[in-house]
Amino acid sequence: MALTINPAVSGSRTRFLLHSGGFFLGVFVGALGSLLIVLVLKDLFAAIVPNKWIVLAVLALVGWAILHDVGMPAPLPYRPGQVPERLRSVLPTGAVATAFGLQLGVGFLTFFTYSTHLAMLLALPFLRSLPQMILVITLFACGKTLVLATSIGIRSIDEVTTRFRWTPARARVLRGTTATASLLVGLALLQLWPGR
Amino acid sequence: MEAVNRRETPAANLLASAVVNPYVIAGGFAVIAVPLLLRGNLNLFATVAVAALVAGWSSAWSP
Repeated sequence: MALTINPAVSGSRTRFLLHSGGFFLGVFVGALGSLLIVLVLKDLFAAIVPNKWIVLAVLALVGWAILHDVGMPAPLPYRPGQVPERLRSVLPTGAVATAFGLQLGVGFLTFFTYSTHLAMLLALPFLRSLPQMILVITLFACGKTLVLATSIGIRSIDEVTTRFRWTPARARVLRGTTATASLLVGLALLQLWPGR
Repeated sequence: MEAVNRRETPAANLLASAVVNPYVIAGGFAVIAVPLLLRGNLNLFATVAVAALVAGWSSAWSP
Protein backbone atom coordinates (compact mmCIF):
# COMPACT_ATOMS: atom_id res chain seq x y z
CA MET A 1 0.00 0.00 0.00
CA ALA A 2 3.00 2.25 0.58
CA LEU A 3 3.44 2.27 -3.20
CA THR A 4 0.06 3.98 -3.59
CA ILE A 5 0.02 6.23 -0.53
CA ASN A 6 3.35 7.94 0.02
CA PRO A 7 4.79 11.48 0.08
CA ALA A 8 5.97 11.23 -3.54
CA VAL A 9 2.46 10.48 -4.83
CA SER A 10 0.68 12.80 -2.40
CA GLY A 11 2.99 15.72 -3.17
CA SER A 12 3.31 17.13 0.34
CA ARG A 13 3.46 15.99 3.94
CA THR A 14 0.04 17.43 4.70
CA ARG A 15 -1.58 15.69 1.77
CA PHE A 16 0.25 12.46 2.67
CA LEU A 17 -1.19 12.66 6.19
CA LEU A 18 -4.66 13.36 4.78
CA HIS A 19 -4.43 10.41 2.41
CA SER A 20 -3.16 8.19 5.23
CA GLY A 21 -6.14 9.34 7.30
CA GLY A 22 -8.46 8.43 4.43
CA PHE A 23 -6.84 5.01 4.22
CA PHE A 24 -7.22 4.51 7.99
CA LEU A 25 -10.88 5.47 7.79
CA GLY A 26 -11.42 3.11 4.85
CA VAL A 27 -9.81 0.19 6.70
CA PHE A 28 -11.84 0.95 9.82
CA VAL A 29 -15.16 1.08 7.96
CA GLY A 30 -14.32 -2.02 5.90
CA ALA A 31 -13.41 -3.98 9.02
CA LEU A 32 -16.57 -2.74 10.69
CA GLY A 33 -18.52 -4.24 7.78
CA SER A 34 -16.78 -7.58 8.29
CA LEU A 35 -17.50 -7.40 12.02
CA LEU A 36 -21.18 -6.85 11.28
CA ILE A 37 -21.28 -9.91 9.03
CA VAL A 38 -19.49 -12.05 11.62
CA LEU A 39 -21.87 -10.88 14.36
CA VAL A 40 -24.92 -11.72 12.24
CA LEU A 41 -23.49 -15.14 11.35
CA LYS A 42 -22.71 -15.87 15.00
CA ASP A 43 -26.26 -14.97 16.02
CA LEU A 44 -27.68 -17.13 13.25
CA PHE A 45 -25.62 -20.12 14.32
CA ALA A 46 -26.38 -19.46 17.99
CA ALA A 47 -30.05 -19.91 17.19
CA ILE A 48 -29.37 -23.36 15.79
CA VAL A 49 -26.47 -24.88 17.73
CA PRO A 50 -25.10 -24.54 21.30
CA ASN A 51 -22.42 -21.92 21.83
CA LYS A 52 -19.77 -24.55 22.53
CA TRP A 53 -20.07 -25.85 18.97
CA ILE A 54 -19.59 -22.36 17.61
CA VAL A 55 -16.44 -22.00 19.72
CA LEU A 56 -15.26 -25.36 18.43
CA ALA A 57 -15.89 -24.33 14.81
CA VAL A 58 -14.01 -21.07 15.33
CA LEU A 59 -11.08 -22.94 16.90
CA ALA A 60 -11.02 -25.30 13.92
CA LEU A 61 -11.04 -22.40 11.46
CA VAL A 62 -8.26 -20.58 13.34
CA GLY A 63 -6.23 -23.80 13.35
CA TRP A 64 -6.90 -24.20 9.63
CA ALA A 65 -5.61 -20.67 8.99
CA ILE A 66 -2.53 -21.27 11.15
CA LEU A 67 -1.69 -24.20 8.85
CA HIS A 68 -1.36 -21.59 6.11
CA ASP A 69 1.17 -19.63 8.18
CA VAL A 70 3.31 -22.70 8.82
CA GLY A 71 3.55 -23.51 5.13
CA MET A 72 0.61 -25.81 4.48
CA PRO A 73 -1.64 -23.75 2.20
CA ALA A 74 -5.22 -24.63 3.04
CA PRO A 75 -8.11 -23.18 1.01
CA LEU A 76 -9.66 -20.12 2.65
CA PRO A 77 -12.52 -17.84 1.56
CA TYR A 78 -10.37 -14.92 0.43
CA ARG A 79 -10.54 -13.35 -3.02
CA PRO A 80 -7.36 -14.36 -4.86
CA GLY A 81 -6.44 -10.90 -6.07
CA GLN A 82 -4.98 -7.56 -5.13
CA VAL A 83 -6.63 -4.16 -4.92
CA PRO A 84 -7.68 -2.88 -8.40
CA GLU A 85 -4.62 -1.00 -9.66
CA ARG A 86 -6.64 0.68 -12.42
CA LEU A 87 -8.30 2.89 -9.80
CA ARG A 88 -5.00 4.76 -9.45
CA SER A 89 -5.42 6.23 -12.91
CA VAL A 90 -9.11 7.10 -12.70
CA LEU A 91 -9.52 8.43 -9.15
CA PRO A 92 -7.71 11.10 -7.15
CA THR A 93 -5.19 9.75 -4.61
CA GLY A 94 -7.41 10.54 -1.62
CA ALA A 95 -10.30 8.55 -3.07
CA VAL A 96 -7.98 5.68 -4.04
CA ALA A 97 -6.55 5.61 -0.51
CA THR A 98 -10.02 5.36 1.01
CA ALA A 99 -11.26 2.83 -1.54
CA PHE A 100 -8.19 0.61 -1.09
CA GLY A 101 -8.55 0.98 2.68
CA LEU A 102 -12.16 -0.17 2.49
CA GLN A 103 -11.26 -3.22 0.46
CA LEU A 104 -8.31 -4.16 2.67
CA GLY A 105 -10.34 -3.47 5.79
CA VAL A 106 -12.98 -6.01 4.78
CA GLY A 107 -10.11 -8.45 4.48
CA PHE A 108 -11.72 -11.11 2.32
CA LEU A 109 -11.62 -9.04 -0.86
CA THR A 110 -7.89 -9.51 -1.42
CA PHE A 111 -5.33 -12.31 -1.05
CA PHE A 112 -5.17 -14.11 2.29
CA THR A 113 -2.20 -12.70 4.15
CA TYR A 114 -1.82 -14.34 7.55
CA SER A 115 -3.95 -16.25 10.05
CA THR A 116 -4.18 -13.34 12.50
CA HIS A 117 -6.83 -11.62 10.38
CA LEU A 118 -9.19 -14.59 10.55
CA ALA A 119 -8.36 -15.29 14.21
CA MET A 120 -9.10 -11.69 15.15
CA LEU A 121 -12.32 -11.47 13.18
CA LEU A 122 -13.77 -14.79 14.31
CA ALA A 123 -12.98 -14.06 17.95
CA LEU A 124 -14.60 -10.61 17.91
CA PRO A 125 -18.18 -11.80 18.60
CA PHE A 126 -16.96 -13.47 21.79
CA LEU A 127 -15.75 -10.22 23.32
CA ARG A 128 -17.79 -8.77 26.17
CA SER A 129 -18.85 -5.47 24.66
CA LEU A 130 -19.18 -3.46 21.48
CA PRO A 131 -16.58 -0.86 22.61
CA GLN A 132 -14.06 -3.70 22.97
CA MET A 133 -14.84 -4.83 19.42
CA ILE A 134 -14.51 -1.27 18.11
CA LEU A 135 -11.18 -0.88 19.88
CA VAL A 136 -9.88 -4.07 18.28
CA ILE A 137 -11.01 -2.87 14.83
CA THR A 138 -9.24 0.44 15.51
CA LEU A 139 -6.00 -1.39 16.35
CA PHE A 140 -6.32 -3.37 13.13
CA ALA A 141 -6.70 -0.14 11.15
CA CYS A 142 -3.75 1.38 13.06
CA GLY A 143 -1.58 -1.63 12.14
CA LYS A 144 -2.53 -1.34 8.47
CA THR A 145 -1.88 2.40 8.44
CA LEU A 146 1.41 2.10 10.34
CA VAL A 147 2.85 0.37 7.27
CA LEU A 148 2.54 3.64 5.33
CA ALA A 149 5.19 5.15 7.61
CA THR A 150 7.76 3.15 5.69
CA SER A 151 7.42 5.64 2.83
CA ILE A 152 8.29 8.69 4.93
CA GLY A 153 11.03 10.78 3.36
CA ILE A 154 11.07 9.16 -0.07
CA ARG A 155 11.72 11.16 -3.25
CA SER A 156 10.31 8.64 -5.71
CA ILE A 157 8.09 5.56 -5.61
CA ASP A 158 11.08 3.34 -6.45
CA GLU A 159 12.61 4.20 -3.10
CA VAL A 160 9.71 2.52 -1.30
CA THR A 161 10.56 -0.90 -2.68
CA THR A 162 14.15 -0.67 -1.43
CA ARG A 163 12.78 -0.44 2.12
CA PHE A 164 11.09 -3.84 1.82
CA ARG A 165 13.78 -6.48 2.19
CA TRP A 166 12.34 -9.94 1.96
CA THR A 167 14.41 -13.01 2.81
CA PRO A 168 13.35 -16.58 3.64
CA ALA A 169 14.46 -16.02 7.25
CA ARG A 170 12.34 -12.89 7.55
CA ALA A 171 9.38 -14.74 6.04
CA ARG A 172 9.74 -17.49 8.67
CA VAL A 173 9.93 -14.92 11.47
CA LEU A 174 6.78 -13.16 10.26
CA ARG A 175 4.86 -16.40 9.76
CA GLY A 176 5.98 -17.60 13.19
CA THR A 177 4.79 -14.35 14.73
CA THR A 178 1.38 -14.44 13.08
CA ALA A 179 0.91 -18.13 13.89
CA THR A 180 1.81 -17.50 17.55
CA ALA A 181 -0.56 -14.52 17.79
CA SER A 182 -3.38 -16.63 16.33
CA LEU A 183 -2.53 -19.52 18.62
CA LEU A 184 -2.86 -17.22 21.64
CA VAL A 185 -6.31 -16.18 20.42
CA GLY A 186 -7.20 -19.85 20.07
CA LEU A 187 -5.99 -20.61 23.60
CA ALA A 188 -7.97 -17.68 24.97
CA LEU A 189 -11.07 -18.90 23.11
CA LEU A 190 -10.56 -22.34 24.58
CA GLN A 191 -11.24 -20.85 27.99
CA LEU A 192 -14.80 -20.19 26.84
CA TRP A 193 -15.32 -23.91 26.48
CA PRO A 194 -17.96 -25.07 29.01
CA GLY A 195 -16.58 -26.69 32.13
CA ARG A 196 -13.31 -24.81 32.11
CA MET B 1 9.35 17.29 -3.90
CA GLU B 2 12.59 18.66 -2.47
CA ALA B 3 10.68 20.53 0.21
CA VAL B 4 9.00 17.30 1.24
CA ASN B 5 12.26 15.45 1.68
CA ARG B 6 14.62 18.07 2.94
CA ARG B 7 14.86 16.42 6.38
CA GLU B 8 15.67 12.94 5.12
CA THR B 9 18.65 11.40 6.91
CA PRO B 10 20.16 7.90 6.93
CA ALA B 11 18.68 7.45 10.41
CA ALA B 12 15.21 8.39 9.19
CA ASN B 13 15.64 6.01 6.26
CA LEU B 14 16.64 3.21 8.65
CA LEU B 15 13.68 3.96 10.90
CA ALA B 16 11.26 3.96 7.96
CA SER B 17 12.64 0.58 6.79
CA ALA B 18 12.33 -0.79 10.31
CA VAL B 19 8.58 -0.19 10.28
CA VAL B 20 8.07 -3.14 7.94
CA ASN B 21 10.97 -5.28 9.16
CA PRO B 22 9.57 -8.68 10.22
CA TYR B 23 12.07 -8.79 13.12
CA VAL B 24 10.65 -5.49 14.38
CA ILE B 25 7.09 -6.79 13.99
CA ALA B 26 8.07 -9.96 15.87
CA GLY B 27 9.80 -7.89 18.56
CA GLY B 28 6.80 -5.61 18.92
CA PHE B 29 4.55 -8.62 19.26
CA ALA B 30 6.83 -10.21 21.86
CA VAL B 31 6.97 -7.03 23.94
CA ILE B 32 3.17 -7.02 24.20
CA ALA B 33 2.49 -10.76 24.28
CA VAL B 34 5.10 -11.96 26.78
CA PRO B 35 3.68 -9.95 29.72
CA LEU B 36 0.25 -11.32 28.80
CA LEU B 37 1.55 -14.86 28.91
CA LEU B 38 3.38 -14.27 32.17
CA ARG B 39 0.11 -13.27 33.81
CA GLY B 40 -0.99 -16.86 33.32
CA ASN B 41 -4.63 -16.27 32.52
CA LEU B 42 -5.06 -15.45 28.84
CA ASN B 43 -7.50 -12.60 28.47
CA LEU B 44 -9.52 -12.90 25.26
CA PHE B 45 -9.78 -9.17 24.68
CA ALA B 46 -6.04 -8.65 25.15
CA THR B 47 -5.09 -11.51 22.83
CA VAL B 48 -7.56 -10.42 20.15
CA ALA B 49 -6.31 -6.83 20.41
CA VAL B 50 -2.71 -8.00 19.93
CA ALA B 51 -3.75 -10.22 17.02
CA ALA B 52 -5.53 -7.26 15.41
CA LEU B 53 -2.42 -5.12 15.58
CA VAL B 54 -0.27 -7.93 14.20
CA ALA B 55 -2.85 -8.64 11.47
CA GLY B 56 -2.73 -5.06 10.29
CA TRP B 57 1.00 -4.58 10.67
CA SER B 58 2.06 -7.87 9.06
CA SER B 59 -0.13 -7.25 6.02
CA ALA B 60 2.70 -5.11 4.70
CA TRP B 61 4.00 -8.43 3.47
CA SER B 62 1.29 -9.73 1.22
CA PRO B 63 2.29 -13.22 0.02
